[in-house]
Formats: sequence, structure tokens, C-alpha cells
Amino acid sequence: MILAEHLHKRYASVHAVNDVTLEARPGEIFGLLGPNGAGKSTTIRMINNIIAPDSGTISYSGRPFSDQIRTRIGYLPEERGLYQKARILETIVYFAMLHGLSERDARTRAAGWLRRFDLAGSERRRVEELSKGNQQKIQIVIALIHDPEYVILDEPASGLDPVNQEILREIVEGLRSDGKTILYSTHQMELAERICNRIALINRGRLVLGGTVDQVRDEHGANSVLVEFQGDGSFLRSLPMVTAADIDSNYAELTLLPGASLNDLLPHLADRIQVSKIERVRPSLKSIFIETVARRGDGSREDLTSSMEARS
Amino acid sequence: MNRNRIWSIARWEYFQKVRSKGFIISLVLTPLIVVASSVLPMLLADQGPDATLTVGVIDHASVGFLALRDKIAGTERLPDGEPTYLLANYMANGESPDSAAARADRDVLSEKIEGVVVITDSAGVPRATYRSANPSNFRVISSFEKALSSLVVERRLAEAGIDTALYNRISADVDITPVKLSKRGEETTAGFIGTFFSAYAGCFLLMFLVLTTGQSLVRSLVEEKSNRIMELLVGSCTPQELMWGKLIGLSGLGFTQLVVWVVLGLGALIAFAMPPGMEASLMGIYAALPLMMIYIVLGYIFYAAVFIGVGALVTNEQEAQVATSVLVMLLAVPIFFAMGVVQYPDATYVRVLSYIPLFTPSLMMMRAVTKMPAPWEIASTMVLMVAATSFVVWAAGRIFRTAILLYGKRPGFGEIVRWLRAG
Repeated sequence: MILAEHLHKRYASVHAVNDVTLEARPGEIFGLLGPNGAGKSTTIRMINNIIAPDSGTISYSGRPFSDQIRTRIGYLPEERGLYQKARILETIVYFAMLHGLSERDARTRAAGWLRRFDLAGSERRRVEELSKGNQQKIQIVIALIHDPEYVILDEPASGLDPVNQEILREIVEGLRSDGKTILYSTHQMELAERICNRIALINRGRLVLGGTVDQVRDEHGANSVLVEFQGDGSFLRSLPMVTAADIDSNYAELTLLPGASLNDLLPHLADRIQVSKIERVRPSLKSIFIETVARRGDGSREDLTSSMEARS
Repeated sequence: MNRNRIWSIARWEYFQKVRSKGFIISLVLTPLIVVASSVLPMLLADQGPDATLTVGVIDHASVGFLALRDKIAGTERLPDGEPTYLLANYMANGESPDSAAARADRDVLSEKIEGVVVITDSAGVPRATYRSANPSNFRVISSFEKALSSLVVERRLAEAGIDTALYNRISADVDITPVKLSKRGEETTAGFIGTFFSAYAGCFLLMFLVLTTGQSLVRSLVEEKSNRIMELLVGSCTPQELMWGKLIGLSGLGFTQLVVWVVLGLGALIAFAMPPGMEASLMGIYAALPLMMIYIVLGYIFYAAVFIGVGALVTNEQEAQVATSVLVMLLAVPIFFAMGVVQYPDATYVRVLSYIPLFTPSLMMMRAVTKMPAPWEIASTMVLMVAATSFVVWAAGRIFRTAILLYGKRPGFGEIVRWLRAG
């Protein structure tokens, strides 16, 4: 279990992390969500002991950070790179040895991981010969090869193709079944909704939402509407009873004002778009995210939606 | 700090660099450049002309063309026995002095002759000018100076009625052989050139060791920052471990270079007979060797730590270039003093400069081969050097710890001072 309590970190003029408390439990995937610059990576770096919090405490299964704990953390940073001139196997073995594996053990395990990621046979190739996606697989191997108890993944899927995203998801879910504690930071709300047990949403350094995915969706479930349609749905956002909207080309998730009903909405739709389906739903994490962040006045809703779509 | 991790890092740094093309090239190229730039000019300057040169003579002072020709022919010979100079008399056919001079100048310019010696009379004393396209050839000038002086002396002896043989018996050339005394009572003859060379050797060695490894260190730090490898590294080890690993790996690299260069150097000296003076200078180095080794090691660690501190602050390739070249210039400063140090190793300014840690190793090495400094000076500079090195390693650690995670923005001086103060 990773328990971080009341973390604070200030840089010159920014309160980057403001009283963040979170608890990632063994056998769970804990989703750390938030827009760009919200303080996710700073929080993760504090949990990793790379930077020290100004105040607050972090414990690992009840104990403070120590050199022993360090070897039991597997970390995939968001800003990540490898030695371009070095060979693939020796790079993996180097980082594995830094995490306390013996050289022989590291070699055996590396072979298994490379097979799993379809990179067997490239042990002697140089890192620079690999595509960006394949380099990222090597980084994932480096984060996991020492069988860490605490797995911290910062945007692990960005840059991977769908096939490898699927492999990654299987691996992460496998780690969960093995009872590991997994902290998973991401912008991909659909993925978070699918795999995370519990989530925390950080915005402008503050924790704004938290709990199990079901709890969060139930709490915000009062007034969400799913509309499937044909035509230009961009006007939906500006309807008077709509407080937040996530609009795709033929799909929209709308959050209505408290008390507003489907009947209030229908007349506005009929003459502008061809509606094929409309239903009341529990909101998706993505729309909760947009609504919550927008309500807190972090830029316009459009900015947020587009920045999220660009990332996911 | 975890020793296994430091060892892993040191091994990684060492093998990644030792196998890089840049390192292998510099390993071989550097000694070649050093030899080419320091030894070759010396050897080439010692070399006389390799073919007979024709030199014109215009004699206004009645020194006598034939006498001069015989004198030159008697003393100057090429290694194969051919005469070094062929003299051409431009006054032979009763030409006017002006037209002879003009003809000689034309011949010089059309490269028929190497130059022309014009001898004039200045109140009974002959004076000569040497006109040539290349008047800086001091070999030709000194040959003619010697011959002319000797002719003038002979003429004056004859005028004074003194027998030349008697004069030769009376006059004496005294050569002084330098003998170096040291406390241990050994005597080694070392000429100026030899001492100068050996004083240089230590400084050059240190400079090139620091230069090559320092550069590769800074470059790898820039790579780790710009490729964002740093984030992965500091997730796996502490900054202190990373710094010590790099320092140790780097020292291994320096040691490899040292061994290879010394072996190459000794091999070359054995393969090609030692040039004159070299043997004596080597003796000078042997005597001071233990001391030089200590200063090289201290100086190397000192500078390596400086490079680590500076390298951690650098964020791109251009800054790295500027930073390394400034540091290298600092290293080269003592070499400018070499000439002075070899002549007056006890001069006050030399002793004072010896206490500036940047210069201590180089200056003390030069002094050790020239004239062993007093024990208290050796002891005090070493204590100072150990203290300075410890301080620089400590400061580099402080800077390293914070700076390696800064991307893009270079910190100001005030900020760096704050890091040093922070606990």
C-alpha cells in the first residue's frame, strides 16, 4: 500500500501540489487523473522520492521511504528516454542491476520480457535502431523487470499502438492479480474507467474527486444524458439546460441542470439533428472530469475537451 | 549509499565510453598530436640543410672571397661529405658594386642562389648583411658569422704578428656541463631542453587526461538530460550514487588512458633511439615520479569533480562546448609558465601560484622535476589540494543533486549558492 498524506509542494510562484492525500492499495489499480500541469507528475515524483515534499508524509506498507523500498518500486516516468548508443539487452540488465538483481537473473528475465513484447532477437541491437513505440516497450520492461511491489506508471500507454496498448493492459491487470500496488497516471478516461478500481482527480494541485469508479459515477449520475445523432451537434453545448458537454461527431454526453428532464431537452434537438437514440445514463469518467474541471474555472470547457482529446 | 549500485554505475560509465569510437580515436590520436607538436619542431630545427646551397658573396671589405670559401668548406659539410655551401663570387668580373648587388638580388628572387652575403667595411670592422628570400634561416647566418669572425681574427693576428697556432693554443672554449644535485645525492645531467621537456610531460599528461574524459563526461550528462534518461536514473539510484559512480568510472577511463599512453610512449622511445637529452630528462622524471603520480591523481579527481558540477548545470551541446573549453584553458595556464618555472623554480610568483588549486598539480610537477621543492611546500600544497578536492567533490554533489533534474532553464549564480547552503 502506498499512502500519501497532505502533500504540499510549492515552486517559485506556483502551488504545484496542494494538500493531496491518496491511498493506493495492494491488488488495486489506482488511477491518478487530471489535466496537463495539474500536479500529477509532481505528486508521482514525490512518491518516488525524486523530489521532497515541502510538507506531508508518504509511507509504503506503513514504512517510510528507504533504500530497500527504492528497489521495490517500479517506475515508468512520463518524461522518459534511453541511452541511444547502448545495446538493448545491456541497457535492461544495467537498470535491473541498479534495482538489485544479479546479472544472471537480469539476463534470464530480460529474455522473457523481450519475447513477451515481440522483441526477441534484438538483444544486441542498439536502442537508436528501435522505433519510438518499441523503445517505450523497453522502458516498460525496465520498470517491471525486478518484479516490484509498488508499480508507478506515468502515462504508460501514450505512444503505443492499439495492439501493444492491449498487451500493456493485460500486463497491468496481471500485476493487479498478483497483489501489486499500482499507481496509474493517465489522461485516457475510457481506459481508467475500464481498469482502475479507484481514482483521484487532481486539478490545479488540488484533489477534487476521489473514490471507487462506481462511487464517483453514482455521485455524479443524477443528470447525464447520452444522445446518438446525425448532423452538426456543436450547438448542444450552448443549450440553456446543459452544464457540460462531451461532443463527438455522432455521439454526445450532456450533463443537465439539476431538475431538468429529457422532455426539456427534446424540443431543442428535433429540428436541428437527426436523433437515433437518447437515454439517461450514469456519466462517464470523461464527462465527470470535464464538468468538474470546468466548474472549477480552469479555462474554458472547449480548451479542456480538446486538450484531453489530443492526449488520449 | 549502496556500493553495488555505485559499482554498477561505474562499470556502465566505463564500458560505454571505453568502447565508443570517440574514445578510441582520442586514445591513439592524442599522443600522436602531442609528439608531433612538441618533439617534431625540436628535431626539425636541429636538422641542417639537406642539400648543397649556393650563396652569393659581395665583398667590399677585402676579407677575401677565396679565404672565406676555404673557411666555409673546411668547417661545413653535409652528412654525406658534400660541401654544405657553394659560394659564388659576384665581384669576380670587375663589375661595379651596384650592378653586382642588383644581379645578386635578381638571382635570389629567381631562386638561382639561396641568398647573398654582402660584406662592407665600417671603420676597419667588417660588417655583413644576408639578403635572402628566407632570411630567418639561422643556420646559414651562423655558419657565415663563424667563418667571417674567424677570418677577421686571423687577419688581426697576422697584423699584430702573432702566430695563429700560438693563438689557438692560448684561446680556450669552456663548456659547462650541467649537473643536477638533489638531496638524495643522485646526480643526473639534465640540460635545459631535457628539464623543460620533462616539466612539460606531466602537465600535458594531466591536461589531456582531463580534456578527453571531461569532455565525454559532460557530453554524457547532456545526453542524459536531453534524452530524459535522468528521470529513469534518479528513480533507480540516488544522485550521490550516480555522481560517485560517474567519478569512479571516469577515473578508470583516465587510468586506462594513462597506462596506454605511458606504454606507447616508452615503446616509441625504445623503438626509435632516444633523441639526445631525452635520456637525461627521463632520469629527471623517474626521480620525481612518485610525487608526480600523486599530483596527477589529485589534480585529476579535482578537475573531474569540477567537470561533474559544471556538466550537471549544462543543458545543451553548445553550452557544453563553451564550458569545457573554458576549463581546458584554465588547465593550460600553467604551461605558459613552464619556461619561467624551469629557469627560476623558486621565484616568488611560482610559489604563490602553487597554492591556487587550479594550478597546484601542474606547477608542483614542473617544480619537482626542475628542483625538488622543500618538504614543507610539498606537504602544504598536498594538504591544500586534498582539502580543495574534497570541497569540490562536496560542492559538485550538492549542485549535481539539484541540477540534474532541471531541464531547459540554466540556474543563476545566486541559486547555485543557495543549493550549496541547503542541507
